[in-house]
Amino acid sequence: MKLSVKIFLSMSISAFISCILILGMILNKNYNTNIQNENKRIIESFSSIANNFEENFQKYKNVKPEDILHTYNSFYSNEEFRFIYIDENNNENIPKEKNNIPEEILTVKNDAFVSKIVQEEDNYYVYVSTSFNSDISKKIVGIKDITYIYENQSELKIYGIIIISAATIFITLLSFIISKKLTKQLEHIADGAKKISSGNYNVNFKEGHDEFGKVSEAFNKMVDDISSRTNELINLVESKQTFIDNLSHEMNTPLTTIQGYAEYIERANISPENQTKYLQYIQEESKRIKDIYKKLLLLSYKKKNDLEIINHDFNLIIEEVEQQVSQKLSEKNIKLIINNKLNNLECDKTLVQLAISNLILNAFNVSKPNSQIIVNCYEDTNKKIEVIDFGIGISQENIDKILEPFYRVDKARARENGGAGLGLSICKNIMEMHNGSIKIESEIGEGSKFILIFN
Amino acid sequence: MKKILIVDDENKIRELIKLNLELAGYNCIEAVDGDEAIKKIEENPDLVLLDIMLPGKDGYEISKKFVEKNIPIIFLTAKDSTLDKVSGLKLGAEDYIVKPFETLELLARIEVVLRRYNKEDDIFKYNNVEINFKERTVTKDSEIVELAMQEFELLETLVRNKNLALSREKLLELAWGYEYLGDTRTIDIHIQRLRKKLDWDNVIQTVYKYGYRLEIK
Repeated sequence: MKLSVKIFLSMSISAFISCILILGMILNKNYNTNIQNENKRIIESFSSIANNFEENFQKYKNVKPEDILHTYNSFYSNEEFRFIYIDENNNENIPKEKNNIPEEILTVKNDAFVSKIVQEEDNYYVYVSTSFNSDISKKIVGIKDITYIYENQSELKIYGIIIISAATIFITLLSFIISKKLTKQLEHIADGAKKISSGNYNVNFKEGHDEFGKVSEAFNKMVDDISSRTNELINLVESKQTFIDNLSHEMNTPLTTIQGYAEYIERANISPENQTKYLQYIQEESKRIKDIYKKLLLLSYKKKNDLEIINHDFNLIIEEVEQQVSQKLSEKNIKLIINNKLNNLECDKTLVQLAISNLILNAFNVSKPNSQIIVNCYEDTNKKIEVIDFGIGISQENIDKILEPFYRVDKARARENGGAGLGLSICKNIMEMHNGSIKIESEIGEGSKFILIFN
Repeated sequence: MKKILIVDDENKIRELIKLNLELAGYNCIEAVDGDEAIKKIEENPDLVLLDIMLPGKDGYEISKKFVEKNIPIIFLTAKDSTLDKVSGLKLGAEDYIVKPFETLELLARIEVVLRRYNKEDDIFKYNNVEINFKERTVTKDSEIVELAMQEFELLETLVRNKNLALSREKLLELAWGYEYLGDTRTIDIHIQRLRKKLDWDNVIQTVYKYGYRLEIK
């Protein structure tokens, strides 16, 4: 059975039963009180009537008791109160009613009062009797019609049923709405969970202070976590795919050249000079593949325990880098300015030198002839090495991607320089191995600044 | 002579394709990137060899310009996933060649595409010999030379790959198909007959320990 039906049924049934119980109790109590009060009232008025009758009975000895009673009967007929006189021989003055008078009413003694309620067909009567003060063998019986109390009672019952029905309908409606509302929240959560499992993370559960609100809150957090983790995975897969695509392109291009020229030399009838030229092409491209291969090894170099991190004299490190790049820089007559304020650096010397020279060669590639490259080494919050060029600069869009393997801002130009687009990725990897990071600032047309930050 | 536009940003690859195509008797024009390729449409190439990964506008992007002009496209690319191939062909390319490729394969595919576009040369003429590929006839000094079917197929293969040395195995495969169960010496015999019938002793050259080459200067 659905939860909403359960809530709805249990609420309506319990409301219905409690309404009936309460109403029954109230009606019963009301009835008893009414009967008691009426009885009391009847006995009170009867006692004064009986006294009065006895007095008159004594006073007018020559008048028949029936006639005296007749006066009373006609006087109280409006109140549906009738009286019967029973003499010492138990002779009633109205014999036809004798059978109806209950026995215990007739056995009354002294001046006590006895009363009893008797049902006759649809009517209810109170029988009340007492004996004369002067002669206990003579009795007077009062019969009062109290049907109206029963009529009131049944009228009240009808009222009660109407009220119960109305209350039950109201409570049923209310419980229906409440149960719907409660289960709707549950259904909402269930629907959301279905969406999530089908991969749609665009789900927001309404949070609140009750239990449902807390469940929703927990669900929202779960959705956030799942979607961010899924996105991470997707990004990872995508970047892997991009890496593989790029790698296959980078490897296929020199392979095509090698295979093509080898085939050409084999098949075509060519001059010795051309043959030498094409063999050179093959050698160059083989070198390119070797270069990419070496760089890929560096890029996959991830384990920290492979590193040799010791304290090095930084002056020595930077001097060696300067020597390594000076030949290349002279090709475009570029001046290298080094401002070193670092004395020592804890690092793997070879790798850090590779990172710095990569940055300098990168700067060289984008610099105009006769310009300069500045290297600032200093310590503020961290030890930092800055490489600044005054070349073409990098757009913001490219800054975000430039550290990705094989990414090249200007494909054709980088290829001419022999780059495969791995240098900066390697720098990033080297910095990560040193628990450091790499930061790039650039302005189109102004130049760029690459900062290696050591922690 | 058919004109072929080569679009590739790698100088060496462009040069390689050009060398091979020129040997096979095609006229080549070149472009290093998308913008230059679009400009070269004005020179009315008969076919374009289009690299997909180009600086600036990539091959996919500029391909529609060629489709509009009804210039057949063969994509040349290092990307070899099926998805890449399908998207390339959907853009209206005629064929798709994955790098690294064999020169003979490239030539064969170019030929097929040109034939599909009815752009293939029907007649090949060299000195006093004229070959009509459509009618499958050969004349020498305007006189019909009787050739067996196998001889004609061999001759056609040599002409289509002129100036390129073809091994005996390759000739078997290209001329008569993979299923041909012949000795490679059959090639020698047919070559001898062709040389004799066309008086081409110097034109069909023997490549030592390899095969033959049709030398057209």
